[in-house]
Amino acid sequence: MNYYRMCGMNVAAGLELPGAAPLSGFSAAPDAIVQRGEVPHELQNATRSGPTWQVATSRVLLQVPGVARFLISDGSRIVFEPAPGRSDAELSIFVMGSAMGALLHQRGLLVLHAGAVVVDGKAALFCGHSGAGKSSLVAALCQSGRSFITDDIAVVQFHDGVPFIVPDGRRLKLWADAVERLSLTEYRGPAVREGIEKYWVNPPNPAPQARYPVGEVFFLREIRSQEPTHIERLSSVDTARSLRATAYRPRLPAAMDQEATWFTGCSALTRHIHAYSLTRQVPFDAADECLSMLDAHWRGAGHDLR
Amino acid sequence: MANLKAGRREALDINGPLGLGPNLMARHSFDDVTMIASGLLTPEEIDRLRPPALDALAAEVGSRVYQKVHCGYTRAIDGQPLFAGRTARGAIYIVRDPRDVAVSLAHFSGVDIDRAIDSLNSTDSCLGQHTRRQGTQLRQQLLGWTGHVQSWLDQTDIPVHLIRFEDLKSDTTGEFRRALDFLGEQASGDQVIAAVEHSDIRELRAQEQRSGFRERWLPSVTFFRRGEAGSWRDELSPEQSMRIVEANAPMMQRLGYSV
Repeated sequence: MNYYRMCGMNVAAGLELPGAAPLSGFSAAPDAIVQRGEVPHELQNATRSGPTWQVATSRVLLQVPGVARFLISDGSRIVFEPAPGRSDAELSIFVMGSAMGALLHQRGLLVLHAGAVVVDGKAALFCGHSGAGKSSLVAALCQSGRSFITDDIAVVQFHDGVPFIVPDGRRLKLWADAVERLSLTEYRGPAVREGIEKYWVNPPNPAPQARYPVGEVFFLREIRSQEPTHIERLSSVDTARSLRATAYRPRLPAAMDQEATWFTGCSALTRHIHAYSLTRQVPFDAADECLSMLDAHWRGAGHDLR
Repeated sequence: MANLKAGRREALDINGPLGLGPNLMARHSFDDVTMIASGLLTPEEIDRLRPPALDALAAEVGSRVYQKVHCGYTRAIDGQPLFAGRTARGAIYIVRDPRDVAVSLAHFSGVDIDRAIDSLNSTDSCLGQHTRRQGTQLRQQLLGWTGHVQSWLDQTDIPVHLIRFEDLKSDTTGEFRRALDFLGEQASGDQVIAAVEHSDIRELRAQEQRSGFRERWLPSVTFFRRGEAGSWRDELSPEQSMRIVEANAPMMQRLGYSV
């Protein structure tokens, strides 16, 4: 058995999860267990389904054809069954991503697809689709001195009505181009999956505290017309709507009948944060421009209150 | 088509929502409907999942929508076509003289014309194929100019209405009406005329001058350029033109292009 700390949980896993922070063991029962076993092809009493997934009460079945099937139950258990000929190493990344995301949703948490760094003692979150550049931006901010909280999954929890996120305990995941561009080669670890040029990267400046209140949320948007990179304040309505759209695996809350929880959670989060769209040119990322714009924003200058 | 559907007095904003369906080639649409991060899959694994993923997206839309795609009519390893099931009821296929395509491609991509010709002639050419980074679109196999045309015209899964760009330029209203007939779309003469006016290249160019165009690949390069048929004659050298013809003559002849 391997023991890890990730997403605020103690996890006992019957496979190696590179990229997660290892623990030598823990005295209390684990929050989640991951183990190999038989996984059905169909879920009994599925209420919703898609091309690769089915959802029933307290259970999610996820299939990555040719790789593995995963059964996630009760917010505490992941069973995986590799496809014939596949090793555990090949599916660890899917355990850490979609399967863990489903498990967190089952725990009734607000699970966002976001990266985060520390700014003035609070968490600044960066949200966007896969390919939007969240991880690169978070890595660039860490390179420039900000502390790393998380790269992919941000779980928001409320304490006395105040929203907090905890450091994820996992490494950054960066594509080969980004590792090179950001001069992070010495921090680079193994590929997240053999044959894919995306790597685990030890974050420079991991955040030291146990948790951080959420201060700002930036929604990354791309533009190819003539508009320059800009930061624009969002209304409460747009913020709440964008937060809901930022749910990790956005179909899961609806499939799990959690829309009401999400509505309440997003409204509550909206009240405590300043939210912005961060619109910039791609495919050239304009990373330096982004960093300067954010620096100016955080210094209090160039803050567009439109 | 978007202008026809909108039926407004002024032209639609080229940078605004066009009222079309979900972007079928977008990575996030695939990731969303499959709950799998496509960035972790090989292109073959993605292609295997795309037919059911696209079918699920199409089923959610419910009503008919129109979607622009660039890819060839391709199949996954198991033989399933990309646009299987409910995803595609038919296609309007717009073809253009490959000599003009080469020039247009060179400008759009910011590469020299010889490189654009290499790409046009290569059955391996793709859009969105990256290994060291992740684009926002999934890989689209283009199959080279001849391969691309052949893949759409010679498949028998879905009906295709062919339009030559050159005919669309010379008789826009007529070609648009014929396309609408194929689609079973009703429109009055006035509606057709208005839609054609609102999408005239001069209108598109003027809008782009004012506010840019979000489909540019390079921010500094104008998207709506000449928009003429046969402008290759003053933009390609005889050698360049010959390279294109040598690789594509049979299909060019089949479509009535002079070689």
